Amino acid sequence: MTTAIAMVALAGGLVVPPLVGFDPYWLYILGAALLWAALASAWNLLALAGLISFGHAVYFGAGAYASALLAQRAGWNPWLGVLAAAAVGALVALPIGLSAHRLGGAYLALATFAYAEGVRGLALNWTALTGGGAGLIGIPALPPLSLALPDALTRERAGGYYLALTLLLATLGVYAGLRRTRVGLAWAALREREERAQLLGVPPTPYKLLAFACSGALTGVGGALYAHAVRALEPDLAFGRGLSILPLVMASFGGVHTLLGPTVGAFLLYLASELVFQPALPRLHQLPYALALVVVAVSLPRGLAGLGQRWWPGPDR
Amino acid sequence: MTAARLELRGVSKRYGGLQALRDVTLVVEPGSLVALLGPNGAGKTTLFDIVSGLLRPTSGTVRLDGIEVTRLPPHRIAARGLGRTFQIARLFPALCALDNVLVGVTFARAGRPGRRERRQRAERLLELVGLQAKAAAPARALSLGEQKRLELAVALGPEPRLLLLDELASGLPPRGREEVVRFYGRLRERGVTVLAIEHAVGVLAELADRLVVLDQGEIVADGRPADVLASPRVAEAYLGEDD
Repeated sequence: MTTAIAMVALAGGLVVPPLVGFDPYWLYILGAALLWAALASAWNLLALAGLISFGHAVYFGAGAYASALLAQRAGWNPWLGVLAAAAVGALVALPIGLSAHRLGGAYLALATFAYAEGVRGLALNWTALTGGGAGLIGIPALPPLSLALPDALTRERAGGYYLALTLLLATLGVYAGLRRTRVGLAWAALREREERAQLLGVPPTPYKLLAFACSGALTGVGGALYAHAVRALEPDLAFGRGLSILPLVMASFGGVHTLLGPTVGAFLLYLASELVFQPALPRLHQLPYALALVVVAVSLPRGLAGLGQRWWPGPDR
Repeated sequence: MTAARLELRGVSKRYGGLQALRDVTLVVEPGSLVALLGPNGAGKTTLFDIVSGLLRPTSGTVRLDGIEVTRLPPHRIAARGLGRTFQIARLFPALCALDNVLVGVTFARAGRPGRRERRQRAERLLELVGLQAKAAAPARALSLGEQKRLELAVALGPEPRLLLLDELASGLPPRGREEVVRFYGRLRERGVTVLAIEHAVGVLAELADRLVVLDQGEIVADGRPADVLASPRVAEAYLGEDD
């Protein structure tokens, strides 16, 4: 019940800005924050199963390029490309998910990083497909839906804003929905003590694969939405290390294993970077992320959500 | 529910130069209660690890109801009806007591019980071990004794047909030990096959069908409790004083 109230309150609050006439700059900034929040929440799905990824850029980039290429070269409707990006994100996650059968903890995290770097190198050098370092330009935008939507929902940057909001709410919905099911229980058990979970009949491989596939699919959709919004892609950007590291930092700062922690972390850090540091110290605009990482490592291992748990301790799930 | 038959044939385990188990052959008949005794380092826990699938033996076979499980992963052995506890409880520390039990109730059981049925069964198990008032508490917040009781409820969740119990009575006050003895009695009535490690022989001497004594990885005595306890070699060398 608390989860449902939190979701409705969040959705209600975030629907408002385009309706009350926020200007395009603010909608761009808030839309980007929503996309980062969605990516951090998708990363958090993996953390729910006790898995750590340093390589989420690979799912973002694969989704972005898949949707862009299907629309640009195969002539697909970009909306279908976005759906395909979910499938591609999940598929690209499977090899690393299978390696999670043998690797754990820091070893798995390093493997995800190596995997993402490897795919980035491939994308940079596979010029015929990805355009190499020059990238792709002229990616078709998402066509307007043939729905009689009010003008306030689609004008200028409102469309992109609502798409990012939809992805965030979908990701939170998947998180909240799965957490209370058999799948969520298996993920929690594997995260807490894998050996014990196995002795109680939890098969680790299928549940880890499922976590990778869900997280990869949602991140892939994020990449596709980005590609059709920006309409240009290059491997160093779409597969960039920032896309691997920032969702991790945002989720850890807000609080892993919590529904809204990653969203809070993403908003605070992205807005601090863009609105405070970028104008004042442009060369140090990524400082908030570094500081957040230090704070989490030194004194807030459970992120901002850990502060709440100090006052209201309770079990995780 | 039918009790399971456990059979180990020629099981050995070697870690480099250390022979942890040497050619162990042991049959535990369905519904029986067998106590496994021996000094520290005798190989008791290694034997449990091999039966439950956490370790693979260097040689030998393990069969459950005649089916070889030697190289099966732990979750598949659990699905065949094996449950286990540890000397120091291994729980899911951040999960509440009810969720801890729900893991066992949900995954290893035959069929797919509904959500309500699973929850009711988990609540009944918490009641059985006297922890119903702690259902919402994280496992890490429970006392050591409570954690031990919770682990028992967790292990009973899948309705195991064979239970490996590791030092259920250790670290408990005298009253707690009496409860453990009563609990072993209830398991016997339910027909579950039990292989139990207990340091304090007195806990199981009257209840067990057999005592098996391990020393340096070998079975050095196996028989009716009275016979094994009467053996001067066993009493002096491996059991110490019965408290």
